[in-house]
Amino acid sequence: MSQQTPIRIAILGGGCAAMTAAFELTRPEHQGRYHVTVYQQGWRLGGKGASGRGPADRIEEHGLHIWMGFYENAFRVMRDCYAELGRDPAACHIATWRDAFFPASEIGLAERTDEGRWSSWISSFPAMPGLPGDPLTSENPFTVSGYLWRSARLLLTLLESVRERAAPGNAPGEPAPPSPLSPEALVAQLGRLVRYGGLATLAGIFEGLRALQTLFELWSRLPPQRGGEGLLAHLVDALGRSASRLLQETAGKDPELRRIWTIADLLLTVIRGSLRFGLVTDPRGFDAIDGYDYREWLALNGASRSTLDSAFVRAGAYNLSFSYQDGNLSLPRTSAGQALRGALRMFFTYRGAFFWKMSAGMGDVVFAPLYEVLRRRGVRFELFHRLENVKLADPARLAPGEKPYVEAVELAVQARARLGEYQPLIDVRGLPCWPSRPDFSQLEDGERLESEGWDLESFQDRRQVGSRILKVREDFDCVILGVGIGAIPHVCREIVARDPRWRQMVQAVQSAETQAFQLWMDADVAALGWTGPPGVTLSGFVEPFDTWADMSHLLPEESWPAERRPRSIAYFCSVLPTPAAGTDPAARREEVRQNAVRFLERDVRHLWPGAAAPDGRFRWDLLHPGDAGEHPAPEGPERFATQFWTANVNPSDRYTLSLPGSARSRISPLDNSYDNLILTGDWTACGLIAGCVEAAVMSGRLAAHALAGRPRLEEIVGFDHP
Amino acid sequence: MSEDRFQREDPLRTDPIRNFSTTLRSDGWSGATGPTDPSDWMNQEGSAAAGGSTAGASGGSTGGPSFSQFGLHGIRLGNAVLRDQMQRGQEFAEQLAAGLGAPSADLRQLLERMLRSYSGMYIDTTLLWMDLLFQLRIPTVTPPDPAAGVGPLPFPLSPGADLRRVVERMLRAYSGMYIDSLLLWMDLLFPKQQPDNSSLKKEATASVAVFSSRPTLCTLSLNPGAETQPLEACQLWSRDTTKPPLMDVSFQTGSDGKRFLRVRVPDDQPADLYLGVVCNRTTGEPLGNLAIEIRQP
Repeated sequence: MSQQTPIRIAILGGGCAAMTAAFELTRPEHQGRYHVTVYQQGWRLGGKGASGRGPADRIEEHGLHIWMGFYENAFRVMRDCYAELGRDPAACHIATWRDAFFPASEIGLAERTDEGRWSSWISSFPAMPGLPGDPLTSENPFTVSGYLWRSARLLLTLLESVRERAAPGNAPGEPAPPSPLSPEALVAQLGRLVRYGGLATLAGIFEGLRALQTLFELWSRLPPQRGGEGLLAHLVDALGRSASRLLQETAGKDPELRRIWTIADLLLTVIRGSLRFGLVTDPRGFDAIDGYDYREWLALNGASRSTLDSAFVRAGAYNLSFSYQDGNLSLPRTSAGQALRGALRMFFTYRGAFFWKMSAGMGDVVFAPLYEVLRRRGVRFELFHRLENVKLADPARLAPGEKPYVEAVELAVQARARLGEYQPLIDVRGLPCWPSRPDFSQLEDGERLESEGWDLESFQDRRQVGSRILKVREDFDCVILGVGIGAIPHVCREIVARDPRWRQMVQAVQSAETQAFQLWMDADVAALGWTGPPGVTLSGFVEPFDTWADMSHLLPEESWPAERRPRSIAYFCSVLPTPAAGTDPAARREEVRQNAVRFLERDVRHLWPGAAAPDGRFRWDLLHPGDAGEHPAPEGPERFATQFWTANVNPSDRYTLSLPGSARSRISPLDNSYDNLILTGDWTACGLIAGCVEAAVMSGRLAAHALAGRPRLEEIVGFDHP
Repeated sequence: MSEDRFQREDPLRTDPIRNFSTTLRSDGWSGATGPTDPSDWMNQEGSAAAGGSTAGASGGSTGGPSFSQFGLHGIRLGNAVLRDQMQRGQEFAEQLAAGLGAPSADLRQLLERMLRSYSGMYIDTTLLWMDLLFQLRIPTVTPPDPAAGVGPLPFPLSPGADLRRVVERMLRAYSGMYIDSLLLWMDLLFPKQQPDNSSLKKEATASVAVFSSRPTLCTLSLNPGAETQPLEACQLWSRDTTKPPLMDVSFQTGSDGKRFLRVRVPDDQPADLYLGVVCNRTTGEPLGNLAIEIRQP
């Protein structure tokens, strides 16, 4: 094929990874070399990040989406997208990426006390220099030794806070100030501390920690030396024993000190485990411990039982990432390698803020701008096209040495636009948004489709008005497959049957169903009894909904009448246990409704004591009823019907898990086994083995690189990461 | 069936680099600086200066990049890397000596493995860059401009040569020099801790004949399997690039039919440590390392 011939790309799916690939391949630098067509079922883009506007333009999400401050690739793409979009701030209040995302640093962890009550621990993470997506021009921050240095530094800070809390103003002797020790002096100092029991005192612990920090700093600047690991491990063990004894004595019943001790114990465990497992020098990086479950690995390296059961571990490594095999709450499973990689990146490499919240729905803030920019670039969107099968060429017809390839893509046409092209966006006071339902008036025979209740995003609803087959060389040259991992067995049947790598992938890279609900309340969070800061994101709470985010900042984005405006918005989400049998979406949706009602009746008062009536039951009248028309608003639990909830049970909606030992079964977007088929999604081997926006965007960028050589691998931040 | 059908090239790699070698990557990796991308590089006036290497190259302000531009940049970069890496090798070995004691044989092996991994990444990256340049259709191959004051190519280069292979060999030589520099410095600094060289001797299958009027120490390390391949020794370089290379090094066949390495040291060759690589004469694949230390009489 000539270098100048345009290459026709069929992108299957419209989620983060697929849209990133489209965005990268159609950058102006490519001078139109890639002609992209996106095929997407239903009426909107977004995949697991899709959102829509419902009654009163309320934002209805697939779940809770919060961007981390380390999402370098995702922010890079969005910053470029908004820059190219060039919205007029006078016409659209979300005109720039800074309008679209704002810092949210209040993080909460819920934990059960010894008395069986729930208490919340709120932390406010400091702003860090820079903004996510800024060029990284300094030395590569992503090294294990660099992380260990930061861990030692954090440990030191935590212990100093313990000292201050336990005995304000009472300095523990005079620890040696940090000094530019030579390596020789440092080793001598460490040896002295370990040999002569210098760590038995608090002053000794501080001295040891400073030495440890200095050593890691030295280590981060030099190629690592295995010879030093024995001494370091010895030091960490001694520090851990001493710090444990001292802190447990000091902490007593002080919950704040106990929490600090939990983090200190966790940090010591991570440092100890990293040294024991040789992670600094292992060429596999954190993948060297991919086979372990995170808590299992922590236990192997001496974490205390209280640390393993703490909200910090439970929420950070399991709840927020739905890491329960088959959705089974008794099977928390996540790869130690990925949990550690994710945690270290999350805590030590974020820029600006720890969390960034979106100013409107994810569809409005992310996918509408992407859609607009891509349309301007000439990308075609074929909505209402449901992928049925990716068909390979008959192996018997392959030329000698020719790789297998995709011969055809079979699609079901769910609906056709009545007049020209379907216009998917709606205008909400100047902001282009996606609706929660398709605009049937734009569709041929739309009235009938609507009256018959066609669910155009349901995997179960197989109705269609036609079919379409895309053929290689006629309709496409290359396919980028961007559906969720849960859909792969259904839409790539031939490949899975034929290719053992794909079979292994779909068996090992599992996914989980999730559930979420949103409440519009007639009381603000303070009136609900929440004593923490507004805008908090809290996890580690009781199942079936372990995570809550105060999303009241979205109220001005919705179109409530001024006199009937809700006072707060709350999002809840969690994993949804997979039933042994039966996947009827309506039944699953009813299951989520019942879970939510039960949760509100039984559990939410621990967060919102003000939401409980004197008899302890939930005050259903606090739910904003929306526009009930002439009918009176429902009362009691029936009122929940006026809120929004979802059971994410469609195969492509399932959340990608990072089960222990599964990383090696992933296939890279760079893989060239089928030379006109490229995979993309957070389930691919994209460097970050996690179900999240950043992994999806990295995968999308890799998919573009596989075709165009751009962006360069070095520009895909965090791909080359331990 | 494959005619006219779009087919991708096989990628250079599909996996992330997770080992420590990424610690060595520093400024410019985001693309914000440094002409590591062909289009960025083309857009720079005085391209070499933009990359932080020595100035003096003329920018490609009109038309596409010529080989002389690319070659000059590559050579400057290579020379800078050579000097820097050899210096780093010495410094690191000295730091080891000062701070953390003598390295064990295991540490030495570990270092060597890690460094070779790093150099592989560096080479792959540069070759990818080259491939991209070729896609831009570099029209002609002309020698670099000697007036620019850069050192000579360590390999012969003629128009029509397989440039990619030559550059690959050059890079492998540079990388090998850094590794050898580090390991040799370690051996020099820790003579008692030096790993058992018997393994090296076992691997080496060629005798060495040294013609020198001064004390000269020659170390030849050949990879397993090299004995069956056609060998070629490239000229050896000191870390001090003002010193001339040691040129007269070649594999020859003796009257007994056995192959040996012949090294002739000119009387005016400055005393120093000279490093180079041994390659397969046909494919250019590096098969071993050669170090010659010329001492004062």
